[in-house]
Amino acid sequence: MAASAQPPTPGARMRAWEIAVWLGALAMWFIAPRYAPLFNEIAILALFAVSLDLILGYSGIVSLGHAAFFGTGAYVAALFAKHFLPDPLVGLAVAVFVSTLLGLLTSALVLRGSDLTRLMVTLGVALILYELANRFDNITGGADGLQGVVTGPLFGSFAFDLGGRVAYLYSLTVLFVLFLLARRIVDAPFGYGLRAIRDNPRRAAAIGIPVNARLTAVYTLAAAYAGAAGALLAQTTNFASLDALDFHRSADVLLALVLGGSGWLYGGIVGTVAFKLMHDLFSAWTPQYWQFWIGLVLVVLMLIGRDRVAKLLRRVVIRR
Amino acid sequence: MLTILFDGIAYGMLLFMLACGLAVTLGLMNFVNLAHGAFAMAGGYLTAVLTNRLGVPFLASLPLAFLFAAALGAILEPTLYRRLYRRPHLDQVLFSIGLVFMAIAAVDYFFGAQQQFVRLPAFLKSRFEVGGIGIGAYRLFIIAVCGVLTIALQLTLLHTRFGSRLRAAVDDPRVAAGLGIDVNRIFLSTFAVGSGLAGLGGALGAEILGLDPTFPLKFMLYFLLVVAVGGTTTITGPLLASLLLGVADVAGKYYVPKLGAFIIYCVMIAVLMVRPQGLFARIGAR
Amino acid sequence: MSDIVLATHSLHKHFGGIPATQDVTLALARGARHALIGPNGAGKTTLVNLLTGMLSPSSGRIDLEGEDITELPPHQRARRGLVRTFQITQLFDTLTPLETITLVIAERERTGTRLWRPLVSERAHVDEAAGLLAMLHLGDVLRERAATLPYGRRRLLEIAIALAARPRVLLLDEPLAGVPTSESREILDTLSALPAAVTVLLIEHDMDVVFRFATRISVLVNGALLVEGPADEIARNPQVRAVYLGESRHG
Repeated sequence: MAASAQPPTPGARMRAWEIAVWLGALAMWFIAPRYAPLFNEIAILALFAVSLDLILGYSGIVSLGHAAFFGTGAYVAALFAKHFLPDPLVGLAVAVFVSTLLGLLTSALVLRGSDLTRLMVTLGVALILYELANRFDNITGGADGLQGVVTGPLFGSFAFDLGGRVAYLYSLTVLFVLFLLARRIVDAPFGYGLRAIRDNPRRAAAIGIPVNARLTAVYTLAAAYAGAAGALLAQTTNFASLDALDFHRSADVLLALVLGGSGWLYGGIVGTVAFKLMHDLFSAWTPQYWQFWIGLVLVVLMLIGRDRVAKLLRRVVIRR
Repeated sequence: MLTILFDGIAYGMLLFMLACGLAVTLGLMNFVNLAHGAFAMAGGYLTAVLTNRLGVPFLASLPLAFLFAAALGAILEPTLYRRLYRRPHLDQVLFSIGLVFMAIAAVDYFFGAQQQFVRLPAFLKSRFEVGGIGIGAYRLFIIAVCGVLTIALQLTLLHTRFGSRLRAAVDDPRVAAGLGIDVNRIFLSTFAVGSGLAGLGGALGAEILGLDPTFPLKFMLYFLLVVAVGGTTTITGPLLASLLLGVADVAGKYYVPKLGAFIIYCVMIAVLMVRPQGLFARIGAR
Repeated sequence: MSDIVLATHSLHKHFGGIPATQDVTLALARGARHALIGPNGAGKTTLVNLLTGMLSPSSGRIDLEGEDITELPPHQRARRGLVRTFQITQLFDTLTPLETITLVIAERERTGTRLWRPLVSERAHVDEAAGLLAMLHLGDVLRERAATLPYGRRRLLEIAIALAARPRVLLLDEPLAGVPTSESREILDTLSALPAAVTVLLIEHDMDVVFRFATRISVLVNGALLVEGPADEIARNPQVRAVYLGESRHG
């Protein structure tokens, strides 16, 4: 993290450029309704990236399996809509609840050990869930995905249209609300405590911070956010499949956060936009082998150095 | 049941061959190389091409697989990997994931996504009974080859000057450098040999583990598991871990097919919870 | 009965076969100005690590204000007023001094779990932080990231962190280590200005500082207490001179 390109100084109020960003996102709904499904996907993945930022950027927990919560949220929301109640908000709440629980249960695993241990353990959890979803394909639909999910209308009146316009507004609103909440949290004493833990866990303990308790709390919170993102995906696409639990999801969101810069929340949004642009560009070039170029980008970025990339992108975004 | 034990041991030896390079890389350069499986894949595909398309005998293709993968390692280590040794583990992980993506896509492009098969010589395809235990010739071959190599590795490590220099560099690279040991050369040769062994493992394992473009990702966790459980400071640690894992996996899949894969994952999580530094690591080791 | 604030009873610590701390029994009275000296490798930092809970003793007991804290984790000991500074500066590199000290104060006041109001909106905490930092001549770098500060300033921040916690017992592990003499004045002034009620254990190699500051001295050699007593007695003790003071003359 650079000394010169500082993140916005904390304050209750949003700064002008932030307001511009959100108004701009909303404006897209009016200006380019044809692209609503694309914006919807960006909003969802941005929420996923923000959730990862909470643990990686702010708390220093490296996770290679964050898709575990994303996928859980997706499946729970889809199954809930299919078998219980198609109301989206109730489904969202249930999905978030289950993801939160999962986060709480698995948080114990990331408290101990080195970065390598954490990488492996989080990877392992995601793989276990993937296998579970795969094996119990009578429930989850396995590799084909869960069919027959129909999300009901919002508030009973606003049905999700095929054009994705309702979907985008829905996802954008959820993203905005959760983002505001996260923004508050990271600027509050709790958030600073997390940063202290990230920078120097021994020192944090020496000033009285209960490190494990705080990390458990933020890991659970991040799981909730990721679950919400997954639920949004399932609800707005009426579909859930193993793809939501797949390793590439965890890797892609890491890349998005690298592109946007971790530790300043907006990095998740910026990075997701950048990633999506890249992904679509590469897919247009080589529909089947775009993964190669993504890999190349990762390699090059890492050779350059995460800090320099984040500084660069942040400067470009904020100055504009 | 003893057949399962035998198969498990074969599987474990194979895993060891594949993973020991990773263990040394982690122990020596403190580098998390998730792309290690890509080197294995390279060796495997080379063998498939040699035996299927070029008619090279299987036994001859094995050393070639080793050399090919070792050469790849020898090229990539000084040009790319070495720049990232001091970086945080996350950067290394992301870098290696990038390499994996590139490798997978490239292999998919050139060879397609289907399984690759290796033409085995007839004598390796037979099975025979010894005292009631069904023994596959191929698995016996694997155990033999890997066993010999393991002994060679251990002897090299313990009884040669290169071995002692390597051990010194693993213990403390700075002090080793201060003693005049050319740490860079050791890194290079170790990485190359580790990659070569992975390539050999990929070639040997094509028949048992399956070979397709997703190989590096599919087995990534297994390699990491061996390293995490076995530690990175000895040869015997990862060896025991591999054998344990091999037997557990084979037995699990046989006796409890529905849950076979989970056992491995749960074992890993359990081990890491209890001893985050690995079951067999020395106390005080990294 | 004297008011003993921090005490250890037969504290042992070994790593494998190596004894790092041997049968250390120590008692600090309230308001003590106690120094712990000994040759390099004597185990002074190990002892501090044991006292603060970063290491678990192999055997023995530690009491804080009469209460057994041997099993307590480090953060709980800190919350009870047992505060330390580190020999190798340990800061939060991405935080500014103002943010760091405000955080310490927030934790002290038990508002560390607040989720809604920003850290810097608590004016009372921020003002106190600014005041403390100004007192330590860090007022001009309030908003610079800690990573960018020069070494002497970092040392001062290290001490500021400890002071901001309003410690009952303060363990100072070589506070002057590596600090150029031009900047050591602030630290020395701060040490002498510590409230009388605070109990201080000082580890230091600079014997001038030790004798200026401490009223009692314990001497640690090879993890065991060689001798303990009033400062002037220790200064005259021939054993101590031989083991330790003789060495320090060489630097």
